[in-house]
Amino acid sequence: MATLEDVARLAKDLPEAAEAERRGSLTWAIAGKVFAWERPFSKADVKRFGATAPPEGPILAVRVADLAEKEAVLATSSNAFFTIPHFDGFSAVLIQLKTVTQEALRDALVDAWFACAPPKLADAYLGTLRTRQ
Amino acid sequence: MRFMGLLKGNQHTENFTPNPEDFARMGEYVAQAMKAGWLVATDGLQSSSKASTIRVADGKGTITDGPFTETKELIASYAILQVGSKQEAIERTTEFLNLIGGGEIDLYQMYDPSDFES
Repeated sequence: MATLEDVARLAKDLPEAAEAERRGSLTWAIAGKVFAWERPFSKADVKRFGATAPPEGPILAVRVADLAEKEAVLATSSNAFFTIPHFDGFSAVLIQLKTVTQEALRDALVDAWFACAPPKLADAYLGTLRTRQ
Repeated sequence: MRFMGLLKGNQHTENFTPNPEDFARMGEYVAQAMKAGWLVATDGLQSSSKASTIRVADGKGTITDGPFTETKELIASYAILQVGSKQEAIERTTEFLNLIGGGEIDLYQMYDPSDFES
């Protein structure tokens, strides 16, 4: 169980992550690239769920390294991680905050940050993470 | 040869803010196209409420500020393509329209200096 406040707090721990509000939804970016964002379902998204009820919000979208990584995350993570047709061919996954663990959320945000950070900054952060361990 | 594509606007494109994923997807597509070399330049155009029409006739100028009320006057974005044939330009344009979920683009061939050499 997590909330958008948790996302904001965890994102703030990442180097140079910037929070912004766009169209009433929160986004978190690194060097101008959005790596995580609040993603309410559009009418078209809801329609595509058909008879199935869409997962209850809030929903967070996070970038992943590439499409292979996306497949891997969806195959191995809990049901809190999912995707919708609008994200087909796009390297990102959706997370239902109500059902995700704090740890899985934190890992997803770190991975998303790495997927978007400029190589220099990513290397530097990787260095500090290794020293901490 | 170069072509200019003009994506026609409508009520929807007039005040359009894309989702973060659509914005990122387009950014990656544009970066890839520029790297591949067939896309020279492209930009989205802001709402016609910020646009103006400038006319000069018989040395007299008039300026009409937007928004443009005629939908057919609206342009949402432009792109300049560097391709080997008109067929390629049409294919690139069709691919782009599929990516954005449909729309209409006028594709013009641009003049090159070589067109004026005899």
